[in-house]
Amino acid sequence: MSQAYHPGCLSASIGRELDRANRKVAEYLQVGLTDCDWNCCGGAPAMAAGPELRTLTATLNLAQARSVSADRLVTGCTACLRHLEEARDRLQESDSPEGGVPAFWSASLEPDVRELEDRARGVEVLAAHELLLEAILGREPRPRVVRPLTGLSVAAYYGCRAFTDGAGRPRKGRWTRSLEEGLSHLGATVVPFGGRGECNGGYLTLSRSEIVEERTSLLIHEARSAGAQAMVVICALCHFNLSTRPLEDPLPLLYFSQAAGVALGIDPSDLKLGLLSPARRLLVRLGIL
Amino acid sequence: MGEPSLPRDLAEREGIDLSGCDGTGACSAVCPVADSFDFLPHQIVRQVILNCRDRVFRSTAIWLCTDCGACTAACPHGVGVAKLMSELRRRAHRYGVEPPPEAEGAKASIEALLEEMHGSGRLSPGRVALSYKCRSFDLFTDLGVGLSLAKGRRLGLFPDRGGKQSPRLVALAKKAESARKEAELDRMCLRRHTAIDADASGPKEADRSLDASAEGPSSPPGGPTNDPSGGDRS
Repeated sequence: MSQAYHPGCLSASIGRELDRANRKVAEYLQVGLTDCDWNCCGGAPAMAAGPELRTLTATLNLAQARSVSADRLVTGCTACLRHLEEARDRLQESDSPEGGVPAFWSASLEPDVRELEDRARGVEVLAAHELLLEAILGREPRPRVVRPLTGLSVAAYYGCRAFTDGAGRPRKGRWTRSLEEGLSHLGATVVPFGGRGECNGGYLTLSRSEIVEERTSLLIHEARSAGAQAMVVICALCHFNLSTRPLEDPLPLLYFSQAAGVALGIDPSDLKLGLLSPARRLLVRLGIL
Repeated sequence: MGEPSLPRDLAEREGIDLSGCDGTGACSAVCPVADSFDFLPHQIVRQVILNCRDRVFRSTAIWLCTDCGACTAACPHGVGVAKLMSELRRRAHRYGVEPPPEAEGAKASIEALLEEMHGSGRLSPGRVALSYKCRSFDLFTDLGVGLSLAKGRRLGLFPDRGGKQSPRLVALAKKAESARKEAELDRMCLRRHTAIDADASGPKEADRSLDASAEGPSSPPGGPTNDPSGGDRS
């Protein structure tokens, strides 16, 4: 099955390793990813614009998956993920006769929006790390772990948007909370980490960095006291905040796709795991690389 | 007066029902950024229930909320606190209410992001950061971070190709937004805020429409809602 893929704004810029590692590991696991066009859905700040714009952009992004004849859309951004799932659920509801269409979506809209909605309806939404987890854990036989992450204690950090949906419920889907399982399978020791779904301040990093400094320091302190040597993340903004903002010594950070790529035997340079990056030095020290 | 209360309006228009709240405070207990709020999430909910528009629209909380959803997940009564916060933020933005100084940066960063989103369809962090810095006159913070990102060629000062549908989408979204037919309510809420903001900058477009509508028999000029010292400051 072919999957449509878009990295999202931040994975296409400040989090380029994430995009690169996602593609490399997907290629290695022979999961077909086809690039499709996409628009920014605004992330968290789109809230100030009201639900119209973000729902419309998310609906368009869903429909773009159809234009590369895929019925699954994989995203590298967790803010996109939430908006896409909201749009998906809304389309599902509006399918029913009584129509769960919210008041703002009036019938006065142009017909091409209806057409857009018809194309977008039924597209499945998946985060990139979930796609990889599915390919690693869900296959029989499972792919061979060439370089097990033995001796590496990690804290798995989901961040807020991959952990719960917009209504505060656990997200639907088999692999939404399987980071720990996946990392254990790859040989790492996963420490219990209570802050795994907690927000680190997100985009406040631009205007109120002291809030983010405090939040990230707390998270890192917690992970470290639980015995973690590194933190595994899935979101480019979380990675940025956790690497640049903490007041105490930051923990080495790995994207899940980088960790999976290392364990599966992919060349670390292909995963954009820089020679001088703390995570790579840690992996060398532990004899994994 | 025919003015609907804020909680009733939120329930009818946006489906945000606060009637289940019994002040448990679970939302405030789990909020990761509540330390920086002037009012804790449960206090915001309480003030909305009490129809204290002025306090909620002028709070830092609605701007500093990161919309992570921990509050909604924690509420034992299923109150959509996160949805409430973002709706309050949207309204404050729409009514042009100036946030307190501690939240001005948050507003500037949101506006920078929205402008970029409206303009080029995809965000480039570098341009958002520049636009934010021009808005907030905060030019030197994070210079080091910015430089190191630029060195790794990951700041992105040029718009990404693709995402070309944006202008059409923005136009459609605006149309959808106006289809809410909330103009009437906007005026009602604005009346309070313009009364409070009477000493602020010159009349905005909204004020003019407000004046036009104030001629109607239902809202006599100089009534209690127009009194700058009145309103909900009790």
